[in-house]
Amino acid sequence: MIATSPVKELRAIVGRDNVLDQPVDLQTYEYDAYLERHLPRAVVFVRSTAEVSAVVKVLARARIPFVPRGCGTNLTGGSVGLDDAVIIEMGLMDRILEIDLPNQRAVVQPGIFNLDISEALAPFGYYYAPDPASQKACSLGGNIAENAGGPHCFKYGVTSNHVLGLELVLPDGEVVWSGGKNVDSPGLDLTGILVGSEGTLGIVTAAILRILRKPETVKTMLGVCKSLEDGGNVVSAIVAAGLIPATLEMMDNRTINAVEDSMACGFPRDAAAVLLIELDGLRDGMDEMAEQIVTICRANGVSDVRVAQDEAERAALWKGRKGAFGALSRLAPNYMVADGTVPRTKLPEALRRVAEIAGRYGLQVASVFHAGDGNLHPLLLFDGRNNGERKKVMAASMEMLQVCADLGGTVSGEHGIGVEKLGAMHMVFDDNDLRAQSYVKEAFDPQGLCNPGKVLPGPAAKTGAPGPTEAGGATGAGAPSLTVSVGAALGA
Amino acid sequence: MAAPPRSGPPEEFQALYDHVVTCGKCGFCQPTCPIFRATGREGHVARGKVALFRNIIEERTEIGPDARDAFANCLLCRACTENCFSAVKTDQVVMSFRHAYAQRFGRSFLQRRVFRSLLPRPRLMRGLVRSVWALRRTGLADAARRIGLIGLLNPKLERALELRAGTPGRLLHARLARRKANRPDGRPLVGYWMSCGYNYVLPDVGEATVRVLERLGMAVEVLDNCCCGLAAYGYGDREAAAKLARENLRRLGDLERFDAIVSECGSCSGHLKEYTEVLADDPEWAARAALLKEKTRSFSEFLVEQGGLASLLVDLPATDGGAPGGAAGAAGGADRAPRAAAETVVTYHDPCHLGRRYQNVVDQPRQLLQALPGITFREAAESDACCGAAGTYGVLHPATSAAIIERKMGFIRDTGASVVVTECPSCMMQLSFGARRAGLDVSVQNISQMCDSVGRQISSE
Amino acid sequence: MPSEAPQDVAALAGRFEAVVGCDQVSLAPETAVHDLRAPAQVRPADEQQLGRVLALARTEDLGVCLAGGATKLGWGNRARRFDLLVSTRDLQGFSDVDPDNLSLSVAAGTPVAEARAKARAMDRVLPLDPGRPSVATVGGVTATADQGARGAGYGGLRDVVLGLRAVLADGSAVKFGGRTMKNVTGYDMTKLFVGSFGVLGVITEVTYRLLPRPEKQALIVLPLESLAQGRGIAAYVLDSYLQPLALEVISAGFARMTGVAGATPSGVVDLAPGHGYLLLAAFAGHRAAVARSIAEVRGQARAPAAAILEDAEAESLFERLSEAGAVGARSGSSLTTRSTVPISQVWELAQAAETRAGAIELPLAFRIGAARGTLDLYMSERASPAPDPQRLTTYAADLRRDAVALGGQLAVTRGLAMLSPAFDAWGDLGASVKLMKRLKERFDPDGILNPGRFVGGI
Repeated sequence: MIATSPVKELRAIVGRDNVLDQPVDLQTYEYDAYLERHLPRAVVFVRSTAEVSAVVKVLARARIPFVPRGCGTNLTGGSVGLDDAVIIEMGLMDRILEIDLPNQRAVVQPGIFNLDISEALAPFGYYYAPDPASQKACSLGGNIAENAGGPHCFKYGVTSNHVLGLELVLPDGEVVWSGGKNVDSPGLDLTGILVGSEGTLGIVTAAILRILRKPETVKTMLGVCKSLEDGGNVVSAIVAAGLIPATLEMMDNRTINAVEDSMACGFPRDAAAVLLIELDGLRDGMDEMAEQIVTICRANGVSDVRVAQDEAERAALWKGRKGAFGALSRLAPNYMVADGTVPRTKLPEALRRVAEIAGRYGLQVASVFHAGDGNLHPLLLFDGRNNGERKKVMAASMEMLQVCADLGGTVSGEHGIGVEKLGAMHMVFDDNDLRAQSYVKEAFDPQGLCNPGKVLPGPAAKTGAPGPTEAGGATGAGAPSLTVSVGAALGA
Repeated sequence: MAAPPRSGPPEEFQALYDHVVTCGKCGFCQPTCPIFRATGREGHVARGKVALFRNIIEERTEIGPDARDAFANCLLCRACTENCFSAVKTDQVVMSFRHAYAQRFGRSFLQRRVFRSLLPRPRLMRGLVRSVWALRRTGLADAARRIGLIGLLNPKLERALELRAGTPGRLLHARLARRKANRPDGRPLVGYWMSCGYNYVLPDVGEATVRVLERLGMAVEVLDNCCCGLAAYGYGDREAAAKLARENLRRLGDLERFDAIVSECGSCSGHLKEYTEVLADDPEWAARAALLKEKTRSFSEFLVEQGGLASLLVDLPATDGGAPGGAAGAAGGADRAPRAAAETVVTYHDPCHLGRRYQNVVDQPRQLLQALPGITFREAAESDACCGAAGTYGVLHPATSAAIIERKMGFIRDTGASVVVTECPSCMMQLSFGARRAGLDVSVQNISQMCDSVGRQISSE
Repeated sequence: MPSEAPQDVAALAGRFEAVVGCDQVSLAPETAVHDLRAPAQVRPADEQQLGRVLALARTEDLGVCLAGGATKLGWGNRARRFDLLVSTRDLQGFSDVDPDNLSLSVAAGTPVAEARAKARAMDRVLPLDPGRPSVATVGGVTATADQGARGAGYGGLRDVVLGLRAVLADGSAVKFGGRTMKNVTGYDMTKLFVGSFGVLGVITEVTYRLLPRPEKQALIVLPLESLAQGRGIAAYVLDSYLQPLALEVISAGFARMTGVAGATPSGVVDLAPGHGYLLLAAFAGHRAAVARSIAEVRGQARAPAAAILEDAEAESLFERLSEAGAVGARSGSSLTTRSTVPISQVWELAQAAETRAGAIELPLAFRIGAARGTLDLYMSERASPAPDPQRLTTYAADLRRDAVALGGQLAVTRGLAMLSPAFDAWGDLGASVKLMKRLKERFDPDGILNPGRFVGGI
């Protein structure tokens, strides 16, 4: 199964110890956070753009597929290697290359943990806004591949709104830059199409990010809802009042009970949902806006509202939400996190139908959802060793996605299509739509080597003879170092 | 030599099967694992080890030398478990693998000679160590190291030599042997546990600890114990660990006479509290192990229990409020001592076995440091992250261990501290090594030495 | 120049009439793309007709240029061939009107002002701020990513489009994205089509994200003594906690050209000598936050005079800003360019533009989008004698070099015909153009959509 020749060539590029090809080692790279396992052909650890380019050239020449991988936290199978692919592990390329405050940009390598970016920016009073719940464990490259969201995207948008430029190794090994530190460069928005492309169009080796000044104040509130409709009405009324909360998170009754069982947050066990709301921005008017929200809550049947007065209280309100997955994991050996989006006002109905589907399959389900943008995450509980249960979970999940599509939403909010949802693409796209998407794949990856079998169902159409690998210029090797420019901005 | 390896998964793995399947592969263990931070290898992080362990049970792979690297690369710090939604106890998974591996493939030299033959015999150990230090004093080893010969032969040996510059002089055991024996005089009796690390490498610390305990008003009996056995236990050699545990309980004799057994080594105090687990299969010793657990205290734990620094200073003459730290004796006590203008900045490193994930003695050392006059305490980021020594790990995996301590030194540098305090000899050696390597001018002290220096400072005025 | 003989044109027109009806086809339309006109124009009434029009154009191998409100035909290069003008003006109306879920779907030919009014009637804000909103269509604005002053708060077009429908060169209808902000279903084709200048397909409907209507909107107008002063204030604002809706610095010439100076309460803002620039900072949200923001900006300027416009007054000032392009159009002999550079570099570029223009006595008006790094230049070449393409070309080329050196680019948005024929409207955008060409080859292999108008000759 292992072609010795590429392995030797790969070792010559990255060093002997940075290529894994023994079965035991490969077994640790056959999975990600989804349910499927596919043994890769080899695993290559890369440390620079030049190495990535050289590695890809070797593989492209040998027509061997490859998969870029960050931390392997992908929830839809995006990081597993199909077709005997070689995993190109990007995790060692984890440096911040530049912090450019006057231009509000940071240039980073893709292997860095998302949270590490904001932690490095904190001393300057800045942060990187997209904060998926897994931010301490997921890589920026993974975020880019999946166009990751997070609880703050209602106000701040998703990863794509904060990525302005990319250094990319194309599937033939050539290195190109798209975008830059400026906005709205003319031309086709290659950066835009690359974000969310799930590692199927090339390998990102550097990213130019938009960074923001941290907000002056954060105000956190929690409302206990007697019904999902009440919670939804509260959100509608908040929007109607002209407010844009930074966060709107909800947990359903099942989740509340699991949380109370495991950590006692003081949520009433008969509550239909709890709604976690955060406002951020200038101090001026913040208290009044919080008052307004409290009034809105009470006017919509949410009488139990708690407002955090300090950091400790804020942490207490978040504790339940942050501990939700842990609490639910105690109920069964495994859980699968499903991911769909509906227009927000359809959330109560979506959740009802989700519960009905789960009931029909005899599965326990609990939901956490982003109330502001309608992105729901039903957690399906099961025992992964039981093949029958796994099948039920995957079938139930598909039915739930169909519900999302039927209600005018979509089948992936932030976890991507990967392998899991290939069958769901037809729920929202017709053949014309999918063919248009395949044009993109063909333009970037005519040989179809880059993370094959993901995103688009069916083999991507291949053009005739594959193009010759081009001798492109690679960026210089050598350890990248961090430069921080503070500029006149802070001194002016 | 062991019998030829059997095939199929080890039976003992079954006990953990239902537990390991709860790993949801979320990957949250990755950022908290110091080894993963350094190497980026999935096999080195909890998720990967758990996957391999499970694969062995499900017979998708075999227990064997190929899998060993993953399970050798574990600090047993439990940071992964703490961040795991399912709270998978990867440390137990690792120890189970190590134990089963040794059973099936034979024990290493370390296990056969050191854990089982040497460690239970403290007198023999002392003799051996004295010879090693004598050899070092000839300068040959260091000369060889300087010209790179040692590193060429074996980087592990080079690393072992780096852990302590120079030689410690007389071993702690000898130094403390000259103390007058304690007569029963109504003072509470504290059994001072002789940690291998202080005994053989950092005896100054032990002397400071005993001084502080006496200043506290305790009668101190220096125990004639052998190695606590943590190294063997972590290695998976349960049998050797049990043997050492029994030997120690035998040597300690009647535990009732002690008010407490105190150790300023977080590993020792932590492991003594675990003897109930080590001897779980041994009902004959279980009761004594339980009593030991009740009596055992880490140094800072004990000191705070006894009233903290105030009880150290209560006998000393009050000085005027002007001198640095002088007002410590005044009403309100050491906790509100005025800070001098140019104060020493001090930070703290939590030894794994003392920290939140083991004994949970976390507030006490910080309380003590914050009460010390003349110093400013600053918390370092990731102060609870393992230093990368982990017993023999640092010597057997020098490159990774060096990368781990390098990360920690960066955070210590950020605090501006000139002193880093901890409560474990292994951590102390690793921190010193890390500071030297980073070119950082930081001195490493044990919490007992910090408390000792206060008393000396005041009594000298 | 139309190359077909008159009877071929008539036959061609007849074939299109069969698809869209007689009223929708006209010969010899006035609308020019640079100095070229097509022999015929077609106005499909709906997406289906548009599909059949394009399919037919493909069969006939015609070069098609697209026009909505025809406000930005001055962008881009000359068409390599221009056989048919397709107008989207009749694709009008709204679907999926969902104020509660903050989304609105608008047919491509709808003027932006109408869509904005629709949102306003529902107490929402449509986050578009293009040039000439009463004429420009949402389709054209989306295809050119034309965002104006309020882009500082709204973001660019790519940040506000949730989904769109389009018709491809082969006539097939496709949809991308959806109605929700969270959407990672397949490739982000929406981003690809925003700003794609019609070369991949014709946008027929756009779904936009709506914002809640803010309680208060206010704008402060500050006279500046120098560009450097403006730079200092802008840097302060961008590094502070303030979140501007707009942050512009405009030259005296621009203020006069657009009548901004006249729009402010008289006596307060005076563009007398010594005050060559105005800073405009706008904020929206809770009234206390807005008040504090305005006060904080004011505190940064040492000059006492400032005008503060609120709500409707602020709105009308934004209207004037967005009509800058129209004024330029009326004068008939102007060259306008749009540049984007990294935020902190825009001042240097503006200075270079001024200095270079001064050296050749070229009248120049400009506006700086300080929060986004955009610079719009308006050069009025004197009507007589005849404009000198050489010196204008040199000026534009020099400035483009400056922009590129600063990490950005410069595009011509009107008056390309005044420059040497070799001058590219977009400039050289580097190695990534190769990928853009490959995409074009897949979507429009016969090259019928806006052929040659876009970057890299696409």
